[in-house]
Amino acid sequence: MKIDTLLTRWVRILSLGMLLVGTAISAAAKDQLRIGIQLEPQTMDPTQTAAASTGEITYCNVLEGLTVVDGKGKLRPRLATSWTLSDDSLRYEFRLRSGVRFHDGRAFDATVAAYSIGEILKPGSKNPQRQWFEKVAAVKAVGANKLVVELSQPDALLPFALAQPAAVMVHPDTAAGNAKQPIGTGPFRFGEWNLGHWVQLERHDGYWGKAPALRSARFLFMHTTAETENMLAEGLVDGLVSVTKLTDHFKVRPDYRMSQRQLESKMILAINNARPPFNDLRVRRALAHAINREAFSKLYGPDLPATLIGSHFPPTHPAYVDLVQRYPYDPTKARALLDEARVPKKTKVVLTIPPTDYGRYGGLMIANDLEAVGFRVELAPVEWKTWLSDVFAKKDYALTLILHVEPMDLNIYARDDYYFNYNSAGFKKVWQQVLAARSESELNRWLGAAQRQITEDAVNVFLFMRPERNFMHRDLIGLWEKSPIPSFVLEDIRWSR
Amino acid sequence: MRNFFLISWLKGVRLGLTAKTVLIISTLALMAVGSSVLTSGAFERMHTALDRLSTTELEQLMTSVRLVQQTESMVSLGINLAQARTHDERRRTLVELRDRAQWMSKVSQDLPQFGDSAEIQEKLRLRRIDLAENLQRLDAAVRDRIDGDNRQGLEDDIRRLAARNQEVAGELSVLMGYYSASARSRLADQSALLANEARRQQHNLWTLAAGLLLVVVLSGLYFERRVVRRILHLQRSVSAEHPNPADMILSGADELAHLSSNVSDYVRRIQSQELRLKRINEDLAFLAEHDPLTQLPNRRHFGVAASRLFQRSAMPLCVAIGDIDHFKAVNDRCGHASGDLALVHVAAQLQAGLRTQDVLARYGGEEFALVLPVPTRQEALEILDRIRRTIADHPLNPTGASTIDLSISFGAVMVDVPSLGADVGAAARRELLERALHVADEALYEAKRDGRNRVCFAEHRLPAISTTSTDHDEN
Repeated sequence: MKIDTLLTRWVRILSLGMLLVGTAISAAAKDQLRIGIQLEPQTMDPTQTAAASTGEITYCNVLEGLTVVDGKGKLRPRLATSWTLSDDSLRYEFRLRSGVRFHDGRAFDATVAAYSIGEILKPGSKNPQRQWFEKVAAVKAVGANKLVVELSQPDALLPFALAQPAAVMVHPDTAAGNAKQPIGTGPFRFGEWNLGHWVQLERHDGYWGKAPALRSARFLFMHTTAETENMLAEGLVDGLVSVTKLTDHFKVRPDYRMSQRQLESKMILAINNARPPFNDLRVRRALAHAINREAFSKLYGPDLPATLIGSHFPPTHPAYVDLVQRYPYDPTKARALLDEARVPKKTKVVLTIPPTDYGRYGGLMIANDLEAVGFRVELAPVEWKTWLSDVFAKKDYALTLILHVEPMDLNIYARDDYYFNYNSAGFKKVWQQVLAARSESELNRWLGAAQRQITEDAVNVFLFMRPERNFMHRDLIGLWEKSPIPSFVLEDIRWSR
Repeated sequence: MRNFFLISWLKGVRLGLTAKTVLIISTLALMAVGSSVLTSGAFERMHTALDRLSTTELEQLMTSVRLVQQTESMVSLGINLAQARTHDERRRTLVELRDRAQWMSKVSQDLPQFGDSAEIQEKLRLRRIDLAENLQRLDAAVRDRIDGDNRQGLEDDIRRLAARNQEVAGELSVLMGYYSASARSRLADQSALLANEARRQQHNLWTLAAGLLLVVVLSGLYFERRVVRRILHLQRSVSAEHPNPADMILSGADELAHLSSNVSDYVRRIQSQELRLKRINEDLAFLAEHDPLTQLPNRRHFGVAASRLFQRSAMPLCVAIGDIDHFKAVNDRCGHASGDLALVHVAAQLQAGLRTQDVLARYGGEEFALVLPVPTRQEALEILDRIRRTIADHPLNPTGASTIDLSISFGAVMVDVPSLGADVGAAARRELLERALHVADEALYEAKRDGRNRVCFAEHRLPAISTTSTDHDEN
C-alpha cells in the first residue's frame, strides 16, 4: 500500500539521520599527540637560540628549511626543489618551490630565502649555527624561484647546513615575532604557548605538502622528575622526546616502547676555562681523572648504557679518535694533580645544573666524585632561562653538566666567545686546517688532531654519548628515527589504532 | 494537541490532495529534522559536559590527589634530610625535595578557582614559602653537622626544624586535602548534572518519538479516510452491475472529487450511448422481422412465432392462409398505392379480429399466414369467418369519393399439437409447419375455386409428426 511505502521511507530517512548524528559523535579518530620535553626554551625561533628544544618543537613542524635531513637520515630538498653546484664549486643555484605560503598567507620566494640566509650571516647575528655558513660570500635572489649562493671557498656541506634548525626560512615581516609566535611554511602552525606548561601546534590546512595525520600536537614541558613520573604513570603524556632516568622503570609498561633516535648528544662536564682554579690545565685534568665515567654511564639504567667518549666527538664518525682512556678514573692521581696546582682541600666549587633529569641525578654523581678528591661541591640547580643567560651567555659559572646535541659541533672550541672560555690559538690553528682540508682523509686527519687538542687541553670532562631513544606510546608510528637533527618531526606520525 | 489542530485545519481549508500530502510530509520531515537537530544538540552538550568532566574536573581531582601525595612525601623527605649523615644523602634528599616542591608549585597553578579559593591559594603559597625556607635552614644545619660542626644546640636546631617541616607539610597536606574533597564533590555534582541531562534528553527523545508516531498514525488515518476509502468507494460504484453516475460523485473539492465527477460524467455518457444503441438495435430487429408496409411480422418472424406455438401450445392449432380476392384487379384498377392501402386495411382487420395468442404474418404478396390455438375446428372457423365477414362488410375508402370492395379467402387446417410433445426438435416443427401451410394452401385453392370470400378447411386434421422424424432434428 502506498501509505506503507511512504511510512517506511520516512522511518528509513529518520533512522539514517539518527545514525549520521551518532556516527558524527563517535567517529572522532585519535589525531592528537602529547609529547613531554624537559627544557622549555626561551624562544620559539631556532635561528636565535642554542637551545635544542626550540628546534625539537618547531623544526619541520612549523618552520622549514630549503633542505631537510629526513627520517631515514637522507638529505632531501624541502623548500628548494633542486640545486646545482658550479664547476668551480663556488656557486650554488637553488631552485625554489613555487606557490608556498607562510601560515599568515605571505608568499615564500627567493627574496625571502635570501633574507633568511642573510640574517644568519649578518654581523652580530645570534644564530647558533652561523659557523656553518662562514664560507658564504653572497646570497642573491634571481627572480622569484631561484636563489644563488656564492662561496669564498668550496663547501660541499652547505646543503646539509641549510637543513639545520637554525637555517629555517623566515619572512622578513614576521621574523621579529617568531620568538613568541613563529610563522613558518610547515605542516603545523604555532597555536598557543602556555608559558611554563606547554606549546600547542595545530595542523595547517593550507600546507603545500602532504597533510599530516595529526590534527594537533602538544609539547608539555616537564620541569621536574616528579612530574614526568606522574604524567607517564597516569598516561597523561604519549611520549618523551628523550630518555630520562625514569624511562628505565617505565619500559616494563606494555603501553610504552623505546624507539631509536640518531642524535649525537655529547654529555660533558663543561668547565669555565677562565675561572680559577680551572684556568690551570692540571686542575682540569684532575677533574677528568676524578670522574668515574664508567659508573656515570649507567645514569639511564643498566639496560641503556651510554658510550664513553674522550673528546667532543661521536664514535660513529669516521674521523673519531678513541681518547676514552686518556684520563682514566683515578682519584689519587686527581688529588695529586690538585695538590700540584695548590688547590686546597675543601675548596668550594659550584656545579650549576640545568633543570633536566641528567642534571639532577648526574649532578649528584659528579658532586660525589669531586668531593672524593677534596672539593666541597655545592649544587646549583637553575632554571633553563638562567642557565642560558648566566652560564651560556654571561659565562658566569665554574662547572656545569650539559648535553651538546648538535651534530658536528667541534667548531665551538674555535669560537672566541664560547662559554667554555677556551680561547686556544693552537686549536684555532688546527681548526683552520680542518676548514681548509682538500680531501676527506685530510679532513679526517685534522678532525683527529682537533679532538686530541681539546682532550690534551682537558677543556671539559667528556663523559658519554647519551643513548638516544624516543620513549613513546607503542601505538605511535612514523617517527623520524634516523634524523641526526635534534627535532621531533610530526608530519609522518600517526596513531596505529 | 497541536496535531489535531493541524488535521482540523487541513479539513477546514480547501487544499488540494497534493498540497496536503506536501504539507503532511513537510510536517514529518520538519519533525524528523527537528528531532535530529535537538538530539544532536543534546549530544553535543552532553559531549561537552562529559569532556569537561573527564578532562577538567577529573584532572583537577587527580591534581589535588597528587598534591596530597607529594605533600605527604615532603614530610618523610624532611625526616630523611634531618637524618642525612653524608653530603651525598643530603643532596640526594634535597634533589627530591626541590623536584617535588617545584612541581607542586607548578601544579598548584592548575588548582581550580572557586569560592574561597583565593584565600586558600594564599594560605598555600605562604605555607610553601614557609616550607622552602625551613628546608633551606634544615639543609644548612645538616650540612654544618656533616662538615663536623659540634656547636651547642645544632642537633636541637635540626630536630626543631625537622619538626617544623613536618608541621608545615602536614598543614599543606590538609589544605590540599580540602581541594581534593571539593574537587571530588564537584565531580559528583557534575556527574549528577550529566545524569539529569541524560534523563531529560531521554525523556525528550521519547516525547519526540511519540509525537512523530502520532503524526504518522494521524497521517495514515487521514490518508485512509480521505484517499483510500474514497478511491474504494469510487471503484465499487464504477464496478457495480448497474453503475449509477450519481453515486460516483465524491464530496469535497480535491483531485479525487474532480476525478470522481469526471468518471461520473464519463459513465453517464457511456450509459446514454448504450441506450441509443439498444434502441437502434430494437429498430433493426423490428425491421428484420416485420413488413414495413403493414407492420405485421414477416414470413421469417412467422416461422419463429409459429414454431414457438407448435412447441408450447396446449391446444390444437389451426394453421391458415388468407389471400385477398382479386387483389391483382385492385392493383390494376386503382393503382399500386391503393393496393398498398388495401393491404394495410386488410392487415388491420385481421389484427383486430384475432386474439393476442394468435400469430399473424404477411406471408407474401397479398397472402397472410395465421396460427390460432383453438380447442376445435369449429371455433377456428368462427374466428376466421368473422374476419372474412368484417373485411367484406367494410370496403376500403381511400379518398372518400369511391370505395373499393374487398374480400378474403382462407384455407385452413387443424394440427394436433398436444401430441407433439415437448421434445420435438425445431426441424420437425418446421417440417410440420411447412406441411400444415401446404395443406392450408391447398384448402385456400379450394376456397378460391369455390367462389372466393369463404373459409375452407382441409378435410383431415393433420396428425403430429412421428417420433422417428425427430432423428432428423439438427439440434
